[in-house]
Amino acid sequence: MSGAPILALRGVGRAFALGGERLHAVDAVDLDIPTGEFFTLLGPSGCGKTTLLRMIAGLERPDTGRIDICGLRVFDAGQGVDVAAASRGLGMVFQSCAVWPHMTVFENVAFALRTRPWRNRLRPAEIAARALAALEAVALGGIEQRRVSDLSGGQKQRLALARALVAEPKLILLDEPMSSLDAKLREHLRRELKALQQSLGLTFLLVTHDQGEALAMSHRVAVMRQGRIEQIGTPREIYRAPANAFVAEFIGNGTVVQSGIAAPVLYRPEDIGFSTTANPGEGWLPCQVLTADYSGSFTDLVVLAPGDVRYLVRVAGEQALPDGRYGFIRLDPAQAIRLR
Amino acid sequence: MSAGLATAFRRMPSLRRTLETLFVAGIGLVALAPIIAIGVMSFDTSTLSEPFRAGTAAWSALFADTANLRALGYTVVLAIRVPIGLFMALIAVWIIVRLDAPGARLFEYLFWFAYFLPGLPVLTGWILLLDPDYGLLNRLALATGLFSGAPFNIYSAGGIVWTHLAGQTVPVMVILLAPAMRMIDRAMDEAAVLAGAGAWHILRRVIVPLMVPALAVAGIAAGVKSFESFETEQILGAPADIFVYSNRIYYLLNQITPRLPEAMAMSTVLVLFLLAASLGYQRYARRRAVPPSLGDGPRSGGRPVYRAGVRWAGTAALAVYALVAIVLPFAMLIAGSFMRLYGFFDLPAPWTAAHWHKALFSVDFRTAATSTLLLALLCALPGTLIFAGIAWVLAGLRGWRQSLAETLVWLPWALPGIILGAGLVEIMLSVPVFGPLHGTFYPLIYALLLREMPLGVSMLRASFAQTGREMVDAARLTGAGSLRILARIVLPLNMPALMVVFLLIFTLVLRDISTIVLIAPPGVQTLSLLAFKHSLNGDFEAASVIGTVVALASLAVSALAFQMARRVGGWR
Amino acid sequence: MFLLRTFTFAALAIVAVSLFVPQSAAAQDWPAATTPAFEALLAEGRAEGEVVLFGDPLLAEDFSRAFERDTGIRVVFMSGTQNDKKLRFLRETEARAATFDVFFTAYEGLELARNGYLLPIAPSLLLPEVTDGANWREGALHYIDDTATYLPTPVQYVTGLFLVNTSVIDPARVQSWADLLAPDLQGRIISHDPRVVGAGEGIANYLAHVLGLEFVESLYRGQQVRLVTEYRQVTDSVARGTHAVGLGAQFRDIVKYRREGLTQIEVVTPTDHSGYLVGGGAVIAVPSSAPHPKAAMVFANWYLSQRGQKMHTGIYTLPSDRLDVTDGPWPEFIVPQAGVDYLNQYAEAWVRGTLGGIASRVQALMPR
Repeated sequence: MSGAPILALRGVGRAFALGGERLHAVDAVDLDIPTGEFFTLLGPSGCGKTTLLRMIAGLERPDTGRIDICGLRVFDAGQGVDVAAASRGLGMVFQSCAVWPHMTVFENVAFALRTRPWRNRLRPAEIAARALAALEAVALGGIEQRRVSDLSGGQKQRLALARALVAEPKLILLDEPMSSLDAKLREHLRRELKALQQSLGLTFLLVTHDQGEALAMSHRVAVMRQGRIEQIGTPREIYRAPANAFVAEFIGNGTVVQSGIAAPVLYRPEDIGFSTTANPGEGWLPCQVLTADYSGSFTDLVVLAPGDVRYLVRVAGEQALPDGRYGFIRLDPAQAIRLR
Repeated sequence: MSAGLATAFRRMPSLRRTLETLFVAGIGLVALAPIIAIGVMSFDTSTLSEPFRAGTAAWSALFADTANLRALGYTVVLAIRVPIGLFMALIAVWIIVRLDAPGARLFEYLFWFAYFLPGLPVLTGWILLLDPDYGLLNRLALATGLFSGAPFNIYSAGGIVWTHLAGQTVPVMVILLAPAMRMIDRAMDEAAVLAGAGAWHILRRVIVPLMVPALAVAGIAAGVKSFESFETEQILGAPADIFVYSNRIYYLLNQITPRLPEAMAMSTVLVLFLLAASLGYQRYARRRAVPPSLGDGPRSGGRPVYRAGVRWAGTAALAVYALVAIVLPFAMLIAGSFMRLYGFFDLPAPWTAAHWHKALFSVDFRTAATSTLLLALLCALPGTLIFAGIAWVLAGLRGWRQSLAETLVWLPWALPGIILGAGLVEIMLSVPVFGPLHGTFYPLIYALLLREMPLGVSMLRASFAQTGREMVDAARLTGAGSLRILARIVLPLNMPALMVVFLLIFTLVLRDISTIVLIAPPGVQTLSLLAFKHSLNGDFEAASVIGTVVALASLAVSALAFQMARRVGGWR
Repeated sequence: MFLLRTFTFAALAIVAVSLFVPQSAAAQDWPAATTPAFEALLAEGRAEGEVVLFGDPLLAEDFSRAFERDTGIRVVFMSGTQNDKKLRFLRETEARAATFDVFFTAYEGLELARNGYLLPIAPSLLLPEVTDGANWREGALHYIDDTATYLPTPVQYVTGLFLVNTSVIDPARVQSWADLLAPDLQGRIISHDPRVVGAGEGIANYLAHVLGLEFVESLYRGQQVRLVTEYRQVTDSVARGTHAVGLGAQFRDIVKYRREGLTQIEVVTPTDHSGYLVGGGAVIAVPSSAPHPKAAMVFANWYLSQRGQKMHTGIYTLPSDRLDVTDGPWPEFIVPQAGVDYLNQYAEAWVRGTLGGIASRVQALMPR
């Protein structure tokens, strides 16, 4: 991850008319993404992340701001610059896959290679070689003659990825590519995507509302709310040092504690100690266990502590729970995340 | 979906605007030329051999004659068939598409078949069934002893409405509504069924609201067209002293010296009606800011959403309708074509195959069949592609250009074929530049396509709008040009709608007489003219044979077309 | 793309069809006698190569083939329904941009003829058998126009007769128009509708002319005549006995029904006013802008010769005015009888003189 930013946004904004009002879907966003980074736009649905992605792709026109890709100005509202989507040199994977159902697997991938202008036209053998290579890269080799309607959901998504890769773009945009897949498949594809991004040395810009996905895959994450970026940072930074209560609560779980006039603090569930041993020692508070959700490797408890505060506590899956539904928790101030 | 010229001219918005404005102007020219000619002709008061002299004589005659106003009144009353037909077609399409009733596809073909059936022979079949004096159904009803007089009288407003409903209104609307209803995601039904809603409730509360735009377009289209139909009204209406608006137009044209200006003035009124309806609809569509969310259409292969009882009830309802409205008249048609004298069952030997022999084994039949088929293909193939191109550019327009272009595209719809043809002949004969085109195939193809353009373009437009936006975006990102995206992505994905449009043009050419007679180059013989020849000869039975053959051939063409559509478009 | 492929195929097929041109070689047995002037005309006509005929589709086959055989001039045929044909004929002729050479018409061409939009046919009739008045009924070929130049009408037949069902009414009871006013015939008469253009209208105008508007009113309104717009319904209804008397039935329907054994229908010629003459669309007109004017005149000669008239009347089952065309397939009741004074509706006097004044008043009487 190094070098000049492959993507730079300055003041990019877009507003829609909704009834009589103007709704700012994206509000003056600044962003720099260096080459080779796996960057994620994370936010709840309706926060403007997909609109931002489509504006970067050139599929939607911003009202304000400018966009540079690979050092080239592709959009500038002031100067009237607006490079066509196809000339921005990027690939995109859509939420709905959007693979073309009337073509075979091979034709879907080869389409982009066949649309080149006449003087850059590739020979059929070369098209075939590159399309097959792209299919191999996403582990779809050998089924290139199948019709798309015979593919599974996961295969369709990989095909969409192969289609985005085949023109060898420097920047790949991914719009919630895994939202329609089942959990197991999603996890599998996550790892594959990450590995692919690293092995090909590409820059990925992912849009998702799944914080687990964002944290697991990204080098950096931007959290968006109502058309604005609330925080940009590494997964660790936004998890451990969220900029505000929104980020804190959107990224992972936790309990916000307001104590007097000081700024509120957040405790992540795994940072709170829990014990069933009677009076385990200094700093432990008695509590009542209200609910326990067993998830295999861990169990999430909601406990009621003195002061009528409810804490979310995560314990190892095998840890014994109290018979009488009473236990003790310990809050370590060093682990407390101070919120602004 | 922003499309059309969008990709190519993103960087040069002003050039793009200019091209768009040129496109709108082009559409305007194409659509308005005959209408303007007709408007101008309505203000001509010159006599033969005089040059054009402006005056409002035709228009004052139009408003002075109370018969015209009464005809207008009857036309409006008879237009009741539009809402009735809309309702019946909605139910039929719903049973076919949403309930997925057993035999649904067969019924869909039956509606296409009904649409193809020749109008006049089928009408005669209805007369034979429902004539108050000797109609078979009336005789049957009297034989039951339940009625004191004949219960049916086809020579009445009700008779006119019924024959229209069975022969044209319902079938056309089924054809128009089915693609739109197919686009509604099956999850809508599934969710509603799981919520415990009954089928009827789902239709009313879920499906109908989503279908409102399609219903409105079909309603306006059929409403305007109902002002133009003439033959059924003439035959069934005259005995009851019912004359409609288009009867008046034809009466004027029929005079020894046709009273063209008056006929043109009456036709211009129809254009104004359509204009008002079209603007009204656009206003409505704008107010309805949020378009219905439509999915990728019903998924195939799943198990039916609705209970077997409901689905079989749907089949039963369709079966009853098809039996009464389609099979019965068709049986009469077939019987008629094998009778010595249509309708005389008590002759000593009433049956004969002579008409079939005479109609099919003649040189004219082969010549006419070949040239009709060629002409139909010559119009329908490029026509479908041209309409698709127009629809594709329309989809990419914005603002006033879009609403103007959409209105312009609809206008030719209001004109009866003979009037449109007359306007076009007028242009060819009075604008020197077009003189050399007169008597060639070009004006004919133009006229035939112009007649189907409104419906064809708007069907494709609606269908394109429902093509997954991301499918098109994905293609745009590859750098494919607008044309290539249209040809490789949008058209294959819209095969069902393309096929419907193709067939609409195809059948128009098969049926048309007026436009072809008015502007075809010499030597064109079509099947509809051949059928007309037989009826000239008093050979009504042979004319029925031709009609039946045309209907069966059309059905075969449509079955073939849909088979292809399924293969190419991966459509269920 | 399959659309494109099919289109290519269609285009190829059209080219293939257009290459197929009927071959023609002149036959030897026509004309029976010729003149140098006609031979010169024939040569010019052949040089033009083809003639475009615009008429009923009935003439497109045997009739046209016979002309090609006899003259070596190819026929291109245009046809259509009444209205459409007439509109095109009038507009193209008036604009002097005709795509056809010969139009088969009724009396639509009168105005055009008077204003110089038609070519005179009479001077180009060069065959002795055509110009010889002895070959024609009443001693000469009839024309619609008073100048006897533009619109020859070689066919005249009688219409305006009653069709009766003898099993429901004694034909002796309906022998004259006045008989139709008998009270017991109220509701038992059916007629082709005079409110649309056609035979029904012709009868109503005829009755207004010979018997007056009051008669028309008492017949159509007083007797509650059933008005239908489909010709066949008149014959059909009388044959079934639903109605006893029919007006405006097409004689071809009558012949056909009788042939199939429905002999209870009979034609009665009224004794007081025995019907009127019409030309059955056998009139020909040649526009001044005809693309093949010489070939058109060759056609006129052929059409008015015994050969042409035999072909034409055979197809239409109409009697020709040519005295040497006899024993055709037409029924006896439409043949004009010598000595009977028929009103001739295919004449300028009727069309320009009488019709205009009567028609609108008749229309005003009709229920609307």
